[in-house]
This record gives sequence, structure tokens and C-alpha cells, in this order.
Amino acid sequence: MESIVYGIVTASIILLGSVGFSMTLNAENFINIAHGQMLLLCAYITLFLNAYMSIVPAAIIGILVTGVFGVLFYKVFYRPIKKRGAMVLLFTSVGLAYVINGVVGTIFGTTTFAYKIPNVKEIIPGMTPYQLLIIIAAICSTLFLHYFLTKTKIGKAIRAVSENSDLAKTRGIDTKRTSNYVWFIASSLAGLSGVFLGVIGSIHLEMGWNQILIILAATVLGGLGSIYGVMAASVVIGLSMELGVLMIPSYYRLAIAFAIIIIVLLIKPDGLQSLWNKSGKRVA
Amino acid sequence: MLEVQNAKKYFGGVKAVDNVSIQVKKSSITGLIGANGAGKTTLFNMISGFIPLTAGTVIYEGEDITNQPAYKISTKGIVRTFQTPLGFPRMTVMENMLVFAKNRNAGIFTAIKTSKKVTPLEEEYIERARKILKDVGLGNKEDAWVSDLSAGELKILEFARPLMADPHIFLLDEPAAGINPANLNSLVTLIKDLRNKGYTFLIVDHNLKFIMNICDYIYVMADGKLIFEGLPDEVANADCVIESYIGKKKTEDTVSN
Repeated sequence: MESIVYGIVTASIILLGSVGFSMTLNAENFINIAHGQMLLLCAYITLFLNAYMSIVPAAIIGILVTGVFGVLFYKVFYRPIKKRGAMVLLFTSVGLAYVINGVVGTIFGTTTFAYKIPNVKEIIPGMTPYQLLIIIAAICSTLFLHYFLTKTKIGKAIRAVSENSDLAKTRGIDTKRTSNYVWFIASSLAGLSGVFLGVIGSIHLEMGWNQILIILAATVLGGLGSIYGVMAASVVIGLSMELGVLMIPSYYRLAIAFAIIIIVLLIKPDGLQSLWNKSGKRVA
Repeated sequence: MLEVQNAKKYFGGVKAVDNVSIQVKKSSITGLIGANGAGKTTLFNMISGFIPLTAGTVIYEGEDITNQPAYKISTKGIVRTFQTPLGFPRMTVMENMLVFAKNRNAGIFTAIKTSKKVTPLEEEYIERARKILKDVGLGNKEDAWVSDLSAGELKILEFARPLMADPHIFLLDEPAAGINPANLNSLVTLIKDLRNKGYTFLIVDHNLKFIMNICDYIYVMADGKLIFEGLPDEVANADCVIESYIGKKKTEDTVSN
């Protein structure tokens, strides 16, 4: 039971990180390696604020600030070089990832930190209110994103831009504005994911690198760029990592996740999204 | 209605468009022809705001729209199509049409409230999209994925889509290229019909027969310059036009790129 709860919690955290990653992948057509460091950035901003206030307001401010950083990074680093293609963007994001990691490391040092959060009792065996909160937050974010992308004007615009940005322009869609939304939402979700990682575990300099690997795995498993596929993939990876620990030593957690990905991709090369998109087309 | 004055576009030392002025009158079909690399599409891109002008002005309905961003220009009623049509590949034909309908401004709360309902407005748009698709001959493809369409069908969808947005002027970039003769005829009829209803067209194409057949007035470009302008008959008999299409008879269909 404890493992299942833990698996769902892990899945929720992966989901929050991966969904944003998929959004930028869709909208800008490149793999943003620095996305993992947005988790780290938000975890440390929240840590800093946590010294002066309780965790909830600290986290909220941290997430919003991370969202703004995401938009800034896009405007300063990615947009000017967008025309040079995905490879240049990819390596820029790798560089940016090291810069963020380095700056955070210089300020906070290499020590492992934890948030100042009150101790709480388990509400049901194996589950603390924090874990419940994480699961609820993940579900709410998912629903919010679903409605946002399928029903709102700006959400539809984001989907149109990620399909064909030139054509979107001829329909009166301001592609720069939609990009700002994408980067704000993606970075905020990454930030939320980073804070949750800190809440259930610890805050350290390696967390960004560890998470981006899992995020990449979830993205591939879900079917590149499919947001709903990624949601399913996060659950599969989260559960398999935590349930696998029951049988295999815990330092093989990542290995279990990747073994499952390899198996799934051998059977379904288009990722999990092909399960419900029969014709091989993705909706979102 | 649409006027381009002394437009210039230099890419480094290359003069892609050099001092070109054209005028498109309301409810007319104006053609723009020229060999590959003559600067036709560059001119299109400048009018529709996709690339900035090096010099010159674009005036639409008396308003200076030079170098405005593409999304703003399109909201003024100027729509364009692309030489290589793509559509939104991961949507159906109907969805592609609906993207171009005027959207109700839905925030996240209205969206959650009305998530299951199809509003009367949306129904109206769907009806309208059906009618347009039927008119252009894509009536049976409504639910097909755009990525499954043939090149010719994509071309027609490219043309049908902006009709949803109720534009005033169409900039068509090579509408005839890659379309089979039967579809081409219905396209010609459709464009003429729309012109009679008051819509305005500016068409770029290689296909001389198509252009001669459809246009009221024709501009000819070569190497970034305007070399001739006039009525279809005058263009067909102008020496400099024949010369710029060296080795090809004036009425022969040239192969598109």
C-alpha cells in the first residue's frame, strides 16, 4: 500500500514536470534540457523564501517567479536564435541548464537542504496530508490544462501555433504572446514539481539533472509531444519505479523505469498515445 | 483597396524585390506572374507582414500597414495562402475550418461551465464550414485527418479555410499548382463567383493559362523588378513577357516548382 501511494506521488511529480516539458516541445519544437533546472530553481527560491515565511506562500511566490524566469529565459536566450533550428536551441538549453545549476550552486553551496514544514500525522496508513496534497495538485493541474488547451481561446491558439505557426499568424494569432503563455505555464508547472520533490525528499543540486532524465523518459514513452500520452506515461513510470523497489534494490529505480520504456516502445513505437489515437494521429 | 508603393527587399546584396509598386482594385482579380525567383512570394510575404520591407509602403483601405506583424494584418481582412500547404496536420478538415471561424472569447471558467455544450454559434460555424467544403468539393472529407489528404486536396483546403474568416482580400500563393484539371475548373468558377460577390483577389502563379483565364489585370515581375503590367491580352502579346519565359510558349502550362 505504501509503495502504491508512493508510486502515485512520484507519478504526480513526474507528471507536473513532464507536461510543461511537452508543451515547450510542442510549441517550440525543441528539447529544452534546461526544463529540469527550472524544478531546481523553484525548489531553491522556495527554500530561500521558506526562511522568512511558511512553506505555502513561499511556494506560491516561488512558482510564479519561476514562471516569469521561464518567460525571460525564452525571450533572452531562445527566441533570438529560434530561426537557427532545433539543434542550436537544444545546445543553448544545455548551456543554460549548466548556468542555472552553477548560479544556484554558488549561492546555496552543495549541502542538502530540507524545507521547514510542520510534522504531520498520517491520515491513512502510508499517506501524509502532504502526499495527498501533491496528488490533488497534480490532478487539478491536469484538469486545468485540459480545459485550458481544449476550450479557451488562448489554449486553442497555443495548439494552433504548435501545429503550424505561420498558418496561425494568418488567422490573427499573436504567436509571441502564445509563446509567453506556454513558457510561463510550463515553467510554473516545473516549479510546482520541484517544490513537491523538496517536500517529500530533500533539496540538492542534482535534482534537476535526475528529473530531466525521467521527464525525457516520460515524454518518449507517452509519444513525443503528446500531452495526454505523457500523463499516462508519468503514471506508468512512477508506479513501476516505486513498485519495482519491492523486488530490486532501490538504487536501480531509474533502471526499472527505463527497462519498462524499452519494452513499451518495442511493442508500441509511437508511445502510449497510440493506444487511443488509432490512426496514429495526436490530438494534443 | 491595396496599394504597394516602391517596395524594396534586399537580402544582403540580393535585391529580391526592387522598387515594385502595384495596385489591387476592389472586387478585382489581380495576377502577379514571373519566373522562379522573380520575387513574387517575397512581395507576398511583405504585404502579409511575414518579412519586413527594406523600404516602401503598403497601404490597405487608406491605412498604412507597412511592417505591421502578420497576425495584426490578418485581422484587418487580408488573408493569404501558402505555396506549400500544410494546414494543421493533426486536426481534421472540419477542425481546420473551425480554427478560422471567429472565436468566442472563452476564459477558463466559461470553458469549464460550457465544456459539454455545443453553442448555437458553434453550430452555425459548423454549418457554414460544411457549406464551404461542399462548394469547393471537399464535402466528403469533413472528418478526414489533414495529414491524410492528397496534395491537391490540401491545396483546396488551403483556399477554403480563409473563407471561414470572412476576409476582404485574398492573397493566393500558387493556388493552381498541383491541382488536377477538374478541381482547377471548379476553383476558377469559385474564385470568379466570389469576385462577383465583391471579394478581392491577388494571385501569384506560374500557370499562365490559369492566370490569363481568371485575372482582370496582371503584373509581370522578373529579377525583383516589375517589367510589365496590363490587361491579360496585352500581357499575352508583350515581347518582354515572352522573353522572361524564354523557351516556353506564352500559353503553355509551365511546370511548377
